[in-house]
Amino acid sequence: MNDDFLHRLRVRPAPQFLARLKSKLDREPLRPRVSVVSTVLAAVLAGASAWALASFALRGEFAGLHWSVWGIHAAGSEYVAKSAPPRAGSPDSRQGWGPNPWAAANRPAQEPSHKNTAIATPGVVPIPQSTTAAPGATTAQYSGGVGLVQAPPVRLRMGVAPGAELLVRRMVERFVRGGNTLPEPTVGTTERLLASLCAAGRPLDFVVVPRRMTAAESAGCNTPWGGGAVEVKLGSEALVIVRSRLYGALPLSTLDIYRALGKTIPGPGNPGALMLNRYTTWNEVDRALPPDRIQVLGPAFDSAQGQLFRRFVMQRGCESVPSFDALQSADQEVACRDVRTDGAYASAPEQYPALLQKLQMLPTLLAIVPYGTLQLTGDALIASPIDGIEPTPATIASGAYPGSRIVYLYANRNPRVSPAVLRFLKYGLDALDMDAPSGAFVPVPRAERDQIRTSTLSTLTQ
Amino acid sequence: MGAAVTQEESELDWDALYADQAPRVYNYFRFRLAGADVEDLTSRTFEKAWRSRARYRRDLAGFSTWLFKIAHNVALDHLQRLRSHLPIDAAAEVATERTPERDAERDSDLAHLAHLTASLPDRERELIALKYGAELNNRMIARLIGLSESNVGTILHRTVQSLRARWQADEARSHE
Repeated sequence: MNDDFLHRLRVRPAPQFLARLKSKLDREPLRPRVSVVSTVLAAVLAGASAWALASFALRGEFAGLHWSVWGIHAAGSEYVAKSAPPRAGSPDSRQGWGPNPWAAANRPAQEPSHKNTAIATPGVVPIPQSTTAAPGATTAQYSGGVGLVQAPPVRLRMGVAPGAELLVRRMVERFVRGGNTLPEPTVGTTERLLASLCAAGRPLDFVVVPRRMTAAESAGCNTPWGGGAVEVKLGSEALVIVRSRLYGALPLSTLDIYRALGKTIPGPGNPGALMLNRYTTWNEVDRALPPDRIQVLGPAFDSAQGQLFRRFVMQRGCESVPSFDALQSADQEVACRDVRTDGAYASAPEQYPALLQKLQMLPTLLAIVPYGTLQLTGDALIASPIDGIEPTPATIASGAYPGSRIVYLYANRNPRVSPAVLRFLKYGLDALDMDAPSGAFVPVPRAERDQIRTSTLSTLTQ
Repeated sequence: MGAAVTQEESELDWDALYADQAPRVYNYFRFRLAGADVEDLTSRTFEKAWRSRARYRRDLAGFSTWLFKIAHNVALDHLQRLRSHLPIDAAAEVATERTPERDAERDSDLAHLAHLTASLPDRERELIALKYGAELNNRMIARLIGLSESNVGTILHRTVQSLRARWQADEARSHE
């Protein structure tokens, strides 16, 4: 027997026990502390005031000073009340919220920086260098790889819908490693990008967007300049809401998620106005849900996945609020965009083991993770169905799962452009040639992928 | 008036503290009161701590020290309750009480250790539990018990030596 032997006798408590106890503790409010010093001081002041008043009365001066004494007291009290700000952590300053256990570990996510402001701005704007540049690229263009035979410069103009930058980056990096250059993509709304694809003056040669082109948009490309558009299904992107398998899945709707996590939501009493979200438990959001505390860990808002989450889930949930149309358009944008920063939503730890540990310890904790992460975790996590739909390869590939979207590339078939696009796609599709999900990206099945590649390349070479 | 939770307290990461300390408290009870309902004692400790956490003052004690003061009191309450229900001779045997459910556990090393520590004075049993169950360092133990750090080291050294000798003697007997 030695120290090591004795230390080895320790055991890890059962996770179920730890979780049960933590859940019980979470219901214990942090009661305010009454400071002994201030209590004594208050008692002394009260005693002194009483003594002074009694002295006045005893000396027969009370009647004459009655109003002035009360006037002084009244004014003094009012001044104190008005000038003293709520103390940090006091019930007033918390706006009715209990202690925020995430405050120290996860500071409320910052509002989008200038990068994301640009992304969120409607219309076509350039992607800032920092969000899309390939590693090592420091100029306004993606530069070719060192030591490779330089191909003739390909002057392509590319458009990307917000949220698809990660996918495009993967393609662009492969293209650049092949010794090519590519001007910075521009980012804009799907509608603007598709309209620009075949517009006169050739604003864009190909675009990556999260939905299929409509018939009208397709017809718009059948112009002398457009020459038609080629559709390439690149794959899907999916985020899932998970909980530890110990506690089972929590089925949610996009509306529930929005109501739980939106920073401002349409008020039940006044549907035309927004109110600050103060829901603390899921059953306040929807009576059918359990009275569990709303605690969600997810990607930082200014990350690409954070943007995806907003667009996948928050936007859909927000737009499904019955009174959404009663909001003014500026309010609609705010309501759908801003996520709570009061602790109900916090950035997830970057390291998966830390996240898993938190999820196992806290029965009410949910996390938003890329679908690829769920696939890697084996049986440790379980995904919540959203709007009754489970995240599976089939529901993601079809776009039925609300946390997913299919990403398409549309290329201009103009004969002057298509050779360059063809060259890009030869590299770009290679970058997506994978069988397992990677992060939020879910590739199309291999058989379909081969078919897409063959038909795309043959269409462009015709 | 005067009711407030200080900024410092509100910034404590209670989740992280719980994650770090719960296994320590749990094992402290396992070492200190073998055979007791360790989950219940751990729960009681944390419930007491959480109820009064607004009164915890970082300027007076480290969180572990404060928490293990509470755990220590919970252990004492538990022992007192046992002693008020059992004859004094039986109390010393509680740790090693034999039931069919505990047969497997009795064979384990911890049960063997519990059997050996049952005859130690309370202070030594507390030191063993704090050192090897709660994994506190000698300085923290010294603060909790009210001894000097070097004294804690010396007592622990002697206690482990004594336990080792008795452990080996038991093993030798079982091989005979």
